[in-house]
Amino acid sequence: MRRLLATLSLSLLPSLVGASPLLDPRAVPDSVARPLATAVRADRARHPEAYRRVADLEGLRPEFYRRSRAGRPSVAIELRALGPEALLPMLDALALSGYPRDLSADERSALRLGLLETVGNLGDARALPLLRSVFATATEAPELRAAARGLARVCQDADRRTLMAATGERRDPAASALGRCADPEASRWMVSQLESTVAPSHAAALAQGLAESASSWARPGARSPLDAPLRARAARAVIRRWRELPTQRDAIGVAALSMGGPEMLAAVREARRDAPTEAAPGLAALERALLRDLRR
Amino acid sequence: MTPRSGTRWLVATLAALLVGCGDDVATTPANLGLDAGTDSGATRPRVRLLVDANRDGTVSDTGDDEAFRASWDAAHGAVFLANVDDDDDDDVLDGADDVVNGEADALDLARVRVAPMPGLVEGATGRLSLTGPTSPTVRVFRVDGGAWRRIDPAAETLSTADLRGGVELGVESSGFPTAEWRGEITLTLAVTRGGEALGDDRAVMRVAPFVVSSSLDETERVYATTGGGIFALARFINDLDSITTEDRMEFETIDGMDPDWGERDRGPDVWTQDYMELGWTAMPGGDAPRGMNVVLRTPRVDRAIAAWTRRDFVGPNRGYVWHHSARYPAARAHDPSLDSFGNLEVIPAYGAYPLGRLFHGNVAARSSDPELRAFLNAQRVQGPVLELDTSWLHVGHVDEFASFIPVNSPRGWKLLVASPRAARAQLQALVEADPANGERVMFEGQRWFHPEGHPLEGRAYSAARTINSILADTELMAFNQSDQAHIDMVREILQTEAGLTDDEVIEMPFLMWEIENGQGAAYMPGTVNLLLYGRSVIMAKPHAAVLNNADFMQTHLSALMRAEGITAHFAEQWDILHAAEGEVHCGTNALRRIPGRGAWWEVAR
Repeated sequence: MRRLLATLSLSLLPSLVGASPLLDPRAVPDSVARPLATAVRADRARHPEAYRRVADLEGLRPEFYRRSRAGRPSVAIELRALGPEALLPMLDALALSGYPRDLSADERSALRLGLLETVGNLGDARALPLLRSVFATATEAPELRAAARGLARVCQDADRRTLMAATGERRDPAASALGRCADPEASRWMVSQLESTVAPSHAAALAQGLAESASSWARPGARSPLDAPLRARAARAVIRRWRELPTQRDAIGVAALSMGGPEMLAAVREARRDAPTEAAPGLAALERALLRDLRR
Repeated sequence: MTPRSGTRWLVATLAALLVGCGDDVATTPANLGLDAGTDSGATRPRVRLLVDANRDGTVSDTGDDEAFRASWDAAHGAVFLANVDDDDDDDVLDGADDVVNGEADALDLARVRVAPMPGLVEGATGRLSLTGPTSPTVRVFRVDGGAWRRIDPAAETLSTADLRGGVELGVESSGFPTAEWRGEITLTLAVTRGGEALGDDRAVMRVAPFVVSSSLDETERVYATTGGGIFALARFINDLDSITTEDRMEFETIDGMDPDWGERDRGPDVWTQDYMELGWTAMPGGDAPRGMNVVLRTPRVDRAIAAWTRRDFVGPNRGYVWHHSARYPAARAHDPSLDSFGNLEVIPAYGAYPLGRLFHGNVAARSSDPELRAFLNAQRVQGPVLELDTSWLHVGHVDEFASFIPVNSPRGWKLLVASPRAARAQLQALVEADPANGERVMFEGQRWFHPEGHPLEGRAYSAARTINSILADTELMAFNQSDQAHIDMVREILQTEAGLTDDEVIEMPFLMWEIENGQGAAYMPGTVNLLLYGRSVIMAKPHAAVLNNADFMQTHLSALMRAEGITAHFAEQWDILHAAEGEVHCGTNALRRIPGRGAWWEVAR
């Protein structure tokens, strides 16, 4: 009976014809659309079920998402469940076919973000052309972040350079995404930028990027893309910016703890020696949290 | 001749002559009702509005009730109630109508007495006035012919006979303090004859606030939402029923599919924690505070099942309050998820907060309803609300990372805090103890997305994963370290605020994962999100790897709780709650009794 219901619900799907794409047309130039359309045609014949699933997401149905605890449309977990087979169907929905029913603005935004994040998380180079054009044209911060992280997941040389060279509204999402590259070159660049930038939000983004790259849980010790001297330098830079940028202390403090490790503890202790009174409690709190971690 | 004090009689007579009262003026202190014995006021009637200023539950005409009737501080001052229950079950809140709805409702009126002036001069009359808010409505009733009658103080004239015999008044409010009204009123009585002022008096009172129950307060009953024929929900309800039966705790289910909620096509709203916050209000009542439980309805106007609070919860000694912005959501940054009451919790009693302190997830970039925060802050005794950054969580509720249990210590409680750090350490320790443990499977038999029995069950995917694969997942570990950083930041705030040592914090091990846009939720069942009553907790069944025929995490958590004198129960809720970003606390609620120590009026705020 359950199988019958599931089959029935899939067969009742409206046609994809006429649905509007989810991305700004500028994000889908011919150079991206044409090869994608060719790949999708072949793929659709091989995996029709994956296309049906991407076109019928439970997380976009009000009767479903209003019942979730967050109470808003969200498709991330559902798309994650579809696995690598859904890459081309997701790219198709993003760039070419759109979604086969009218969506509210919130639903549309959730779908666009969910698709961008999921294709980026798959780490498949076939997604890169679209992610590059989205990164070049998007204006909303979550989409810029998703596109940048998708590029960093694969981290081809050209994309790394693009992220490092990003300016304007793209600069900070790119800086924090670079941590996902988790490679020495991006890490060294982030450290030197963090040491020199004068922009508070950029410093926070760089610290976040370094935290992901140098996470002592994800890549402890020898597995870190930063050798020990660079980790120590990175930690000192993070803590120096924490001291210098009171408006960014929450974000940089989280980055410091997210990086963790003995180098960060040493940097905090060093900073405590000559810290001004106003900074002392915050540094003490960072030290306590780092110690909890290191004692485990 | 009536015995009298010669001196007083002389003073009174002379005074009467001096003010030229002529024949109408009585000539003895006794029959004037005079405040005799003072040099300057000998001819004036002793006008007194008496209230329960000493907070002993009765109004007397001597001592502190009299001495402090016009003042209000932590030691003295009268209290009245927001009469928001429905003692006669007529579906109209008692404070919203112009009648006293029976004897039980009369008990909710704070008494004010116009002290008798038996010798008051004929022709003297009294006029009351009330200085109070425009909203809510403060109503004054008087006993008239043995029954209560609402009066408009400005229009009501108290006759000479009324004043000679004394008048009993009752005061109530239709609502709690607001951002515009701190809750104080002043009642004034002026006695005149003709155009001449004979005397006056005033009494100050303060309305009782809405107080959110602490999870440590004695629990009367537990709630959960049911319905819809969903197997996973029925299983959870069944577990709750068994556990509460074993603990002899009342358990009540709320029908999530009641036609009034209009949920026919989308199933029950199972987030019982989120659509209501339970608390109380009280005034002094002798041996213990006298008041009522009150439900605060979520500001989320689209939350259909929240109407249960008004339709079914309200009744005798069960009140109701609802505040939300007229335009909802109120702004672009306003996230209605933050108006769910898993995002409003109470740090139990400490220091200057004998009734605990509210904490709540709210930052400028992702905020809750400003009307809700304004209402909570206006209650003062548990505030100002401690605002924490929960924007790193997908749902964004404080109950995703913090809860409390009672312990045998001078403080009496400990903070439980979510700990990816402890979870990672547990998994690593298992592998270090025996590398073969790394291949043990977490979440065996559990699935993400569609619960068993759902029409789209076929789309569900296995959650099962080995310990090694979890520990080797660099993105998952980096994300958990980042979430741990956020948790450490809020933990620091909570510890500093309440003065907690590290020994007073228990780390509840579970890993998080990213849902979207950098925001996370519990990956392993979030066991900090638990239901507490008495010395029992109900938490999510962890579905961790099995070691020695037992779920190792369940074993660990049971020991952790047992060490504090707490019995841990585990409910099956993966499909219905955990997979939808919630846990046991989110799916339940609890009605707690008004604490015996609920003397909010002693809080100097």
